[in-house]
Amino acid sequence: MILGAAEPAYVEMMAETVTAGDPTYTGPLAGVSLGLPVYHVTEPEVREKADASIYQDQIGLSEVAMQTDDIWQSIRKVRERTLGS
Amino acid sequence: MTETFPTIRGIACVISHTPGLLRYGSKPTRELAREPGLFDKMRPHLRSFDDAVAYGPNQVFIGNHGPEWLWSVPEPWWRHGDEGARATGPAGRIVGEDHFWGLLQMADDFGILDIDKSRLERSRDLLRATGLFADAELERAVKAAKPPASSDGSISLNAADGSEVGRIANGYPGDSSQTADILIENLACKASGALALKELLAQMKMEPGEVEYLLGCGEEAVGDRYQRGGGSISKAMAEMAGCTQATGSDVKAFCCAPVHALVLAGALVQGGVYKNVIVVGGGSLAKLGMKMLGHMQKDMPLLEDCLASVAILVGPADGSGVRMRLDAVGKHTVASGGSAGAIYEALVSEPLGHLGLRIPDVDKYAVELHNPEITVPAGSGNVPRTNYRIIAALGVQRGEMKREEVDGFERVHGMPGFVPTQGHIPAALPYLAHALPKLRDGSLRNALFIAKGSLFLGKMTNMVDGMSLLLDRG
Repeated sequence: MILGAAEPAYVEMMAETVTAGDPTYTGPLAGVSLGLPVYHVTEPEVREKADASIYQDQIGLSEVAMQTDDIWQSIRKVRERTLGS
Repeated sequence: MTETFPTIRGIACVISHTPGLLRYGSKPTRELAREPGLFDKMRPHLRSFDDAVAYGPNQVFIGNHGPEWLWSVPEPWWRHGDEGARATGPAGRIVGEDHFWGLLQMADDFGILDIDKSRLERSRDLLRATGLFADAELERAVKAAKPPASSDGSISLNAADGSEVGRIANGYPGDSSQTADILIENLACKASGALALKELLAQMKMEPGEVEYLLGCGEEAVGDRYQRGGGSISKAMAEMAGCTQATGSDVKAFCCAPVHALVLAGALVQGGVYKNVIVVGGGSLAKLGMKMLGHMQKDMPLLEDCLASVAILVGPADGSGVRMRLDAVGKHTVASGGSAGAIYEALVSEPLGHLGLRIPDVDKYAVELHNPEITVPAGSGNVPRTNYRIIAALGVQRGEMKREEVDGFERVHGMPGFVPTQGHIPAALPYLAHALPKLRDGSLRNALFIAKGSLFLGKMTNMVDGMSLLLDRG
């Protein structure tokens, strides 16, 4: 699962939703643990696999706007907690 | 290039606080169908009228404070009501559910509603006290235009305390586009839009007969089984507001319809077709309670209990110096592309470039001004902040700003979101209430109004849409 949201708190919640289950218990994934590997589109693991010119065209501007350090920290925390990686 | 441009003469921003109608929003309706006992859990989260008036973002919406004032209010804003709050402000007013039943009755030309008489009499008295309505109009608040229709398929209307107020019937029998739940949405849009019109006319000290044309920019599809989005709720609002010499039509473009409508209004004036054109947007009942599960889960009040409506008067240059720069309208075209970069180039850097301006040259950007206190707890993020960061990033990418300036861009060139999550209403234009006085006195040089629309939601295209308009001083 690849996320593209811009806010660290939102990324964390979405990551939690597709791994451990919806933490807000408001959607269909409440209590459903999918355990999907989840990454943010700006993380090196994803970015390095993308065509650089397409990445720049589609994501480049958003990446400048995002607080990527905070986003990466949030999503890595969820991965470590729920997937043990 | 034309030297003279049309101007925006005024805006009225009105909130109708309708916690009783919250349950007829799309999300609450679906949730209540699944769990009929849910309303008992919702009720403790409904706000009083006084709380809705004191709510900081609502005070900003009607013009009693500038948007930047919210940065000084401790969060959560709903816990820190404005002690000096008033239900009226320079841009508009806040009315309550007790006013609104009468407005709905005034909007009903077909006997669709059957509302308790004592409620309507109370509404009439409250509406009289606003000073916006003539006696003959007030009588319409208590006397049905036609006897109530058949109650087949009707649904009950309830006040915030759960008591039954009356019922609303279906339209044509068997017409799935005129079921009672759709008609209450349409009547709420008409009533709240007409109230904004009344407010604007009073603010501008303008006779209703001077209005020549209206462009509706609301979200409701008014029609019948053969023409579901038939339209012209704008003309229905004009009739209710006494604009006897006006006609109108509706502009549909999801949430960016208001900016499309504003540009079209400017063009009608610039072309000499009409002198007084009003863009009007009624409130969206479907969006009440949209994020309610997130709010209940966080033990917050159900903040989406307000129908917000606006009316904006466009006219020829009036010496105020405020110009609609129709020579540099930003538009997202079919070819523009859907990435953030493509959208903002089309809506920001391209039109600014046309005028020889760089991103930091615009004093204020009005974007999708959704109140973050409503969206963040429900997981939808701080919408205006995301927009400001993207515009700033575009400035960096174009070499017009430094990367270190991205974090501070919102404080300098932006504002906190303060508008109820009513789709089209947060689309930039409520900032006009704050921008117009500053553009007139010169404390603001210019402001760019940017709206985007999620066309893909309608299943006819995967595209988005967007439009922007710069106002400056001539």
